[in-house]
Amino acid sequence: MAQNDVLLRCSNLTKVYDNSVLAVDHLNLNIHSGEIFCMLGANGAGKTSTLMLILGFSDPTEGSVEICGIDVNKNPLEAKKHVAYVSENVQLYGNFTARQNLDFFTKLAGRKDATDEDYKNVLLRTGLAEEAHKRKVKGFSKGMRQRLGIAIAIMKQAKLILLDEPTSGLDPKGGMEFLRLIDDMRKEGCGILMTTHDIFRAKEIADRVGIMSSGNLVRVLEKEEVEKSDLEDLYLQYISQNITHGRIVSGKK
Amino acid sequence: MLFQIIRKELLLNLVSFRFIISTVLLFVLIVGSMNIMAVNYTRRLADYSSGVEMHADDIDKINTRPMFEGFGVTRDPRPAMLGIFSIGLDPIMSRSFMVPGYTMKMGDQGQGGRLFYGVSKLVGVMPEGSKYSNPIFTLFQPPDFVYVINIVLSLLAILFAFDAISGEKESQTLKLMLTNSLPRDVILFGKWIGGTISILLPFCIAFGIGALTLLIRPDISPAEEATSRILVIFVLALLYIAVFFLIGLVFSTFSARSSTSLVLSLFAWVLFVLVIPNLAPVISRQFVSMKPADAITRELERQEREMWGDGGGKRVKAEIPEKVSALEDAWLRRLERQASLAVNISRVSPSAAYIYASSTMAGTGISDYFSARDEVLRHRQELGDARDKFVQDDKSQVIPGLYIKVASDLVPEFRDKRQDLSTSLNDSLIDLGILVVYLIALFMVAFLKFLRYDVK
Repeated sequence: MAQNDVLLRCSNLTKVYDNSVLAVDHLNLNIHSGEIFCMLGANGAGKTSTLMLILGFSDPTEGSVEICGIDVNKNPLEAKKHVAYVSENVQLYGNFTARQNLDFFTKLAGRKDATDEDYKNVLLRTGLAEEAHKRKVKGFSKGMRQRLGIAIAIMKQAKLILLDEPTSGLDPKGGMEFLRLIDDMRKEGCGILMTTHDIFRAKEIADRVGIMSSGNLVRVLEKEEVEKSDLEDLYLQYISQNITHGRIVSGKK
Repeated sequence: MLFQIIRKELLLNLVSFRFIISTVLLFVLIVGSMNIMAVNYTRRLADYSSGVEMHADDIDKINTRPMFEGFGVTRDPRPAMLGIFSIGLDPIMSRSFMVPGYTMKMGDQGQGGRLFYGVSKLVGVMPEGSKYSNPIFTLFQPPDFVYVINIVLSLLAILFAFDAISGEKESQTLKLMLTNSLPRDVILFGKWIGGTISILLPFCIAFGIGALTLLIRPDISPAEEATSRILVIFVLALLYIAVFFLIGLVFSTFSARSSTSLVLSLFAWVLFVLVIPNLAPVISRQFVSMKPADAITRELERQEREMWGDGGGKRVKAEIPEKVSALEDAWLRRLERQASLAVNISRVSPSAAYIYASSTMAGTGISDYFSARDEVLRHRQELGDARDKFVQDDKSQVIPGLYIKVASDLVPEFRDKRQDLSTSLNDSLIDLGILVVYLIALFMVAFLKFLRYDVK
């Protein structure tokens, strides 16, 4: 797949919940192969709602989502073959070992060719020591569970990876190792959409950064802009604008 | 993928605390119940044998016409062996009954009813023939196999199922599963199959061991037909457990939290297992009311006294048998209607349907009860006919007849006939059908609800 292939296309994506809350407001977003897009935003900005729409867990009120050119709402099962998801707090089957969890989700993803060696390698790659592979997950720390979540995403061999605040609650070392893994996946050609509050990590790793407020991307910065600008100031500016005005008119990319 | 879900459910359940508890509980209850009921059956069989022997002696004593006319004949129906699995109505059906000779009408000395079949032959305070004087045996009735399945296993099935969906939502593993190209019906079906197998596994082991312990008992020798019946009782238990697992699963798809689905499932359990089956007879009694048999007997006796005063013995002889017969028929028909209404109302509950089907297959159900009652009534008629024939043939008149021996073979034998396998199967078909309908309907409800289940 070429570097510029669009893996994710959100067009006019809108979600109004039953209680009339506008969670996502005419969002337009493309993510390409080999790109990390960091979505910054305060709590309630609509980041997770956007991810849920991309995963087909809720139906859009308006607009559409395409993963690898497949409309998520028209053909969800086909679209899901190309996407992997790691949540903020990966929860797996506590009574299964890391290896059993990985095996279950890998087979669920349709991969029947995975060997014990593959499992071992991917778990080592994510930083899980070998002694932990056969330990029950209920005894794992959050960092270990996040690593296992990434291992599951890697084994799925999906092109698009969605990460929902994956580094929150991780210690600095764990956070850095996690970002290194993501960087490796980008190099392998994956497109990554990561929601986060962590401006510094976003600046460090993102190819593009989008600031989300009131359900829309109010500003999208390219790599050069990210490097040049004071992202923290910019982010706080948009957030305070939102607090002042309640809602910002959407700035579509 | 379906296999993966089933495998996952099985593996997770097998290492869970509830599986260990269920295995121990089912082993103790099923194996224990089968053996206690087998001991109980052996005791009842011994009572039956001694009863038959004793009452055969009584018949030998009927050696004169007045005695044939005056005394009664007591009969002893054989207890059903499959009462080990479902005791059902067998304690009533296998109770000795007496046909008083002077009328050759059904009677019950203890309670004075002419019309009753199956009421206790209590004389004083002790059931006749019982070798157990310890009242604790009556206070704590042994649970039969069907009782264990109906009460305990249905509850365990719910405890295995209530968090199948809501629990995975809470732990967010459902979301992770659904990020894959996995149809929701596959998840639901896999969970149902995997979860049901998890509970059926200890059940099957306990059932197998229980059945083996029965086979090595010298006093239990199931005929081929009994084996087929046991097999159907086993299949009915499987269906019933699958239904209750689905009830838990349905409520799991209706709740975002497993604590909510547990409360809802337990409410459904109480409703289906305890409330509906017990409420149905009460409701049916409101619609089809009945006078107590004693009241009818007293009314007959009052009319009889009036007739003696106005017309004497001739009138009594001419009118009373017809009146008795008409009242008795009407009373029995009404009883059947009341019972039938109660059965139909209670069939709203899968628990009642399961009990009806299982007891019918064990030969201790409602249809067996009515069929056995008809058999008893037929025997009463048979005895009456034999007596009439004897009186007609006896040319000796009363006084000389006192010394004429009544041959034992003049007294017809009681044929203790139970329903055959095909009749039992036919009778339990509707309840089997109800369980299958429940399975399909509950799965459809769970499926439709799960399709729109919010996994976020």
